[in-house]
Amino acid sequence: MSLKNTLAPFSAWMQAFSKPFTVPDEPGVRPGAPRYRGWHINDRETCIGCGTCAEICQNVAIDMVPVDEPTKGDSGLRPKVDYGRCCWCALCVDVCPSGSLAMSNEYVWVDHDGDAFRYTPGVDEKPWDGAELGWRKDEGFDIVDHERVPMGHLDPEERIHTWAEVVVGYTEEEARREAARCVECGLCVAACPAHMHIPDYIAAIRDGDDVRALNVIYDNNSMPEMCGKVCTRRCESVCSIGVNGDPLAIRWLKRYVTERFDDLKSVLDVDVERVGEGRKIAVIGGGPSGITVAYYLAIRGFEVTIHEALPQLGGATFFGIPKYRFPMPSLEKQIKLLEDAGVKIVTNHRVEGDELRRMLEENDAVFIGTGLMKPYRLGAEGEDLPGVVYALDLLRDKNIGREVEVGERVVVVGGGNVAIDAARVSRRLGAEVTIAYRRRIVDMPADDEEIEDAEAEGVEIIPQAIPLRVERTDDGRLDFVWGPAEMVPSDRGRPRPKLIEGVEHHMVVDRVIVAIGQSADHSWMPPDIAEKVADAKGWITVDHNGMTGHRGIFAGGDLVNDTADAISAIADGLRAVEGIQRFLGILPEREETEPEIPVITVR
Amino acid sequence: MEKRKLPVLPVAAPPEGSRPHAPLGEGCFLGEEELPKAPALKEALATIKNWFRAQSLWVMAYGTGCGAIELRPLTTARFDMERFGMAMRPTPRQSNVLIVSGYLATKSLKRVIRAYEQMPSPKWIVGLGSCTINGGMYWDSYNTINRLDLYLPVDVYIAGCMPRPEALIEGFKYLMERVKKGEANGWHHYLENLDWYKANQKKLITDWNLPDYNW
Amino acid sequence: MKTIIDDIRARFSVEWEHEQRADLAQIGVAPGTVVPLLTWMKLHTPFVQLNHLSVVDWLEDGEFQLTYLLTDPHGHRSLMVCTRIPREEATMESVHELWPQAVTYEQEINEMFGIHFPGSPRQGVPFILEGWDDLPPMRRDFDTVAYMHAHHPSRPGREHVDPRVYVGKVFGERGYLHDDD
Repeated sequence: MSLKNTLAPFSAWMQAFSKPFTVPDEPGVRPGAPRYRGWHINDRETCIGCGTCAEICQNVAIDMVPVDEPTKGDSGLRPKVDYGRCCWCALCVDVCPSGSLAMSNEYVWVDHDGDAFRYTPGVDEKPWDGAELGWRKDEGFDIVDHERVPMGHLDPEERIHTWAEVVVGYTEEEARREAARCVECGLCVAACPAHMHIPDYIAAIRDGDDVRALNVIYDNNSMPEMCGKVCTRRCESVCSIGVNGDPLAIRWLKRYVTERFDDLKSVLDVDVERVGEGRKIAVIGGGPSGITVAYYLAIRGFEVTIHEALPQLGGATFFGIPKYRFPMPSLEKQIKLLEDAGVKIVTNHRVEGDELRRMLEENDAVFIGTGLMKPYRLGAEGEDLPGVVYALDLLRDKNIGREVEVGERVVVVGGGNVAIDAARVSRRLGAEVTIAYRRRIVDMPADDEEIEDAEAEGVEIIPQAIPLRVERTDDGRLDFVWGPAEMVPSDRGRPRPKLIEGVEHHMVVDRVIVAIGQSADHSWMPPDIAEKVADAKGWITVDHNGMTGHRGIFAGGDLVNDTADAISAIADGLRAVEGIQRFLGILPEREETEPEIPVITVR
Repeated sequence: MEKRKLPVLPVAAPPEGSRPHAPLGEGCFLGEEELPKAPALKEALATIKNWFRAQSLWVMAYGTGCGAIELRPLTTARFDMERFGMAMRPTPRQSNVLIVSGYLATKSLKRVIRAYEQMPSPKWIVGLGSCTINGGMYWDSYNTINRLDLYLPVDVYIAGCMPRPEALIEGFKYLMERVKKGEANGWHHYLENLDWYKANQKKLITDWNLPDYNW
Repeated sequence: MKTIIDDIRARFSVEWEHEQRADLAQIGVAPGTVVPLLTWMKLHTPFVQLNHLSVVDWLEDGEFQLTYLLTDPHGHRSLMVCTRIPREEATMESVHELWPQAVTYEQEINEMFGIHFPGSPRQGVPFILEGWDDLPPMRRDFDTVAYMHAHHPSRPGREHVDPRVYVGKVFGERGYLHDDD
């Protein structure tokens, strides 16, 4: 054995002076990679509590727990993660519709207590809160489909020459595809005034079971075909998919189902006791609220009579909404369902004088849903000139088939759906149309889609325009004079328009159509009853049963709520359906109890 | 000594014909029992003993699940567990730390129990990974347990799926802290609640054929 | 591959065939044909090696599908011989006399799916499971979550509130076409 061989092993000692290879024993010395998937972080404010994370988790690691008060658009639940289950796959982060959930790159968590490994990110404080690094959803990547199946519309050029429906409707394949985007979080249920079972019927559509979908829809909405076409769809405004994408086309899906069936009675599976046999109910006003009350009481055996002043039921949905949005056959189908349910319908009958007093004696309860029929006046000089008309009158005359003439040039004053409807109807009557609105376009109460459609049809919108006066010109036309406004902050929240003095614009038109809102008219009631039902300003307040200050008189619709849409009227009707039954002692009085939280514990 | 709360769990009676374990009592080795009676001296001795114990955690080289792959780097120069006085041992008789590395099949549980009972006291169990806490991604499997602490006393859990070697080192440092403070006494707990642990074990392991050690 | 399948067709009745790749094909035969076919193939064709024996549970059809994967070790090609047997009291002829390693496959299938191979030496002897007393766990009608809840308790204290149900309750979602039960 040579000396070299003997000494060779000792060369290892030279390593004692080289830089150590070992990771130093200091905490945090090796942070996770920038995209490491570690402990969760959540933005409590951005999170909407839709529970999609809990739904997708393959390990059932996520529980939704009540943290905040539930509001419309936020269930108040927040995900609580069990790290005895989580495997850091980040499906929850990738699916999160609001994008609030993420993962930090922290990965060390040691404890002697096995129960310690659970927390609600963003609520329970953790050292890794607000971590900059960690897993985030990839830009442009999403598990849920953010793009709505597009809806076909008639070409704008074509539709101003026709009264045919503008919206084409989904085909079966399109509807199933759109329905499959739903994550069934149920936030929409909170936002819908009638609390329709939205995720349930969307699931039925997705499963190809349209009969079930229709039954689910009719469970708490007796005019869904109307809603499917013209609803203000608060549901879509809170849709969790809509936070970062297009909301589910809930309205179009409802429209798809309701249009598929012609004979509703044979499809609907009604299973209620006829508890109202022998009792009589009078409904005054055949609008959505009245129809709702009539239908759901009639199937329970009540003898219901609807009194309507116009020749057709439907209220504002009949006389107010133009037929290119809600065609007549759809409404007639609805009325047929009422007739099939045994509702007596009296049209062309305006209740007046002492008739209400007599109705109160002859019936067990009376429901009033007469709506807002008296238009607000413009409050500008010259508003009584011939040629200054109210939008409601114009729409009604058109809808009940009277001859309507608007001339060549029209200005519509207002920014709500009625204003847009009046503008689009005038457009179809051949006029050049301008809308003058006090505030900005973003402030318009009208549906965004309606505004877009109107603009596509060539309606010009002048925002921040305050009408000053209307004058007659020498050639018999009208000179509409308006002044520009600037937006100034207001203590009421949204900015208010302030007239810029000294500037006047003139516009020569044939018609000035006023659409700045309506108020209630109680002149048909006997004064002593009206006094109890409504306050001095004409507002009606109702209790939790929908009953007014007068015993036995229930009310709903635009009269009562301030949202002035059909679905709120339907919700009022549903409240009165229960309220009337409680009033008559058929249902027990509602007890004010905290709702029981439906908890699943076996996880 | 810190008392731990037992989870409330319905346990079945031991299967017919299985021998009861040897009774606890006189002659049982319970560690501190044999120390001198004077409290101050006893405490001082216990502190010294615990300090020594913490410096020589010998790990039983037995990987039950996928987490064992994270143990191997610890023995390399990069993470170098020997600087903490830790070493891998090939047999339970030479080890005092048992790492349950991830999911634990019912079948493996039986071997783990047997190995644990053969280890000399004091001994500690480290639950590595989410699976030992509440089942992890194997939560709905027909043949893996969800909670290790129903069957064996766990002194430290290291959460994660999988925890990296750095997290393991943090876990061992935490275990050393607890050993030094005399708080890591799962082995005591096991002996004191042997009936409860045995009942849980025998409820799950239906073909019970493990020897009953003489405690 | 076509030649070998044609050869088989000349001697046995083949229900269906499918050529997946140039070196991999599948044929379906009746259960009774399997053993004669495999015997003939081992003796007279290059497909002498049993590579694998696997099962698919066609619960809805009430059948198990057994797949014998035979390999030609020199030609580097494989043939899958598939057969379907009824799920009820599933029994299949053993091939352990052709290939001794089939004993292990048959033992495992017996344990995991409950298919019986009469004559195979280690039928009923536990292979992976110990003390198993439930449905064979790989059967699709075995409810693994229910089994988990019954045998492997989870850490308590988990409480999940389903947003869909919760929102409906809190906001007073009701239906009017049906009376509440």
